[in-house]
Amino acid sequence: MKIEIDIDDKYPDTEVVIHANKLDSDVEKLVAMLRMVNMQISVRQRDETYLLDIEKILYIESVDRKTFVYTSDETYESDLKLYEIEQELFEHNFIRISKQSIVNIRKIKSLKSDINRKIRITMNNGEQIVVSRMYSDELRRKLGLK
Amino acid sequence: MMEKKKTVFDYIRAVFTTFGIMVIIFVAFCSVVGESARGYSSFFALGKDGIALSTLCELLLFSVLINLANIVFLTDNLIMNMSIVMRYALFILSAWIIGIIMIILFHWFPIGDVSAWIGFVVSFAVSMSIAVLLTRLKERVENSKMQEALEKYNKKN
Repeated sequence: MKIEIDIDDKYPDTEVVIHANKLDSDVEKLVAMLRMVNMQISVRQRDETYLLDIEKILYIESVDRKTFVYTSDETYESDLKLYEIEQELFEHNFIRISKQSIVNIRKIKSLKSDINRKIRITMNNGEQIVVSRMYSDELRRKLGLK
Repeated sequence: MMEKKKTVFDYIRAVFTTFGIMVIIFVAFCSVVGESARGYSSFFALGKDGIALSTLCELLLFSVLINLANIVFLTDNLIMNMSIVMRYALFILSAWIIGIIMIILFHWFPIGDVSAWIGFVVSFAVSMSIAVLLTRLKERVENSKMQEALEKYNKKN
């Protein structure tokens, strides 16, 4: 893939143009990652593609190599891998809580300590997720407790 | 930084920690009531001279079983979804049952002695209540700290 960056005062806005001979999964991934810069993520639900505001996401989970995005009342699928989303969303209050999931800290309603230094999270919609022991210290650090 | 995964060596370390604490307690008991309790309980077979090898083995077995119960009920290695209260209740119950079996099997005190059984039940209940109370208190403090930190974080971001 050829990457060309042209920085010049003549451009009033940042514009990204993709030239490709077909719309394949690489191009779709590229578009999805660019969307995240605009605080949006492209997701699919019943063969339709949506642009979802990052703010609306509760958590993102990887199940059987598929990535699912959860809002308070909907579940979507993303073409991006969990680690790709994690890299982009780390600056936007998202944090890895287990090997399978990352969570939007701003959508956490309450936190409770669980056995083995794990943390039980209750999301704004009442759903409960467990932060694995491996990642609970990282969450504590992010919240300023360590 | 990720936390290290627990291994069998952590279990062995926990077993010997429990065993060591029990030995210290029994050494203290032996030196105080050893002579007067000689013949009453197998624990004090040597009077104030120390703990018998057979008693040491029994205490080690007790430590192994208690730590196994700890793994079963107080970790998620075998049981994934269970409330903390239920976990502690089951752990205490299993520890209690293990204790009773050990008392009967190794004649830690005469089985027909009602006052000894009352002493066992009371001391067990008191020590477990203190342990659960301290755990709950620690848990509450940690929960409120985390909740405060979460609210602070959300205000800041």
